[in-house]
Amino acid sequence: MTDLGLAHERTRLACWRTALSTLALVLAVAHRSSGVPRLAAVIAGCCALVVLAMNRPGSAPRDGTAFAALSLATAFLSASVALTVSKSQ
Amino acid sequence: MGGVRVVVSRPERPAARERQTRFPRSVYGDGEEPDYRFSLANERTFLSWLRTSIGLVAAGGAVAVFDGPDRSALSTGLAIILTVLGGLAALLAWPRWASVERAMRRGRPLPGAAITLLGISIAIAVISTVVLAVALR
Repeated sequence: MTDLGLAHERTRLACWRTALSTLALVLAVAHRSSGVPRLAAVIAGCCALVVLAMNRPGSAPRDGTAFAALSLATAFLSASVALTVSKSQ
Repeated sequence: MGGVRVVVSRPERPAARERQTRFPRSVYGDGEEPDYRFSLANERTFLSWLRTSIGLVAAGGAVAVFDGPDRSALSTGLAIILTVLGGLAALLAWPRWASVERAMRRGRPLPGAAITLLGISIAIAVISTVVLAVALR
């Protein structure tokens, strides 16, 4: 039981860490970009915030919604960075 | 004398209700709930893929930023390749999580990672080539 509880806690922390890293990168990108790349970064930030809200303590049961949101957040972030880099060339 | 009819509805079994409400149904629709620890380990693997993706995106941004405003097309290309690879890793992480979870629920062997490893190997080869080209410039 202790093992299961710790595994759950470790997983929740990993999810928070990933979402917070995404948010930090979103802030950096949104600060330096404008237009469509900034919009993509804002969408990524919203997805990451949704994930944080879904992973609040006591939330259960788990399913694939948060994973899909986090995956989308990172994909939008990637698109935002790629557009920013190509626009600033 | 008219009696009052009381209709007692039988509560739905929680497991069946969960199957209908948990997303995605293609994963949770059939099979048995595996050991929670395995599901959590699968989730952590998915999150590791996402962190790898974030790392690739951050590296792409860093290459673009540190080369300055008048950077070469090569470093721009490298930045875009890294960023696109990050996006691909993020987009492929979710189907990978779903297929592993589905296999565990159905008691089947886990899907192989051959395609993933192949993709990573190709990506590393391309990136190494470009970095070498930048360094020898």
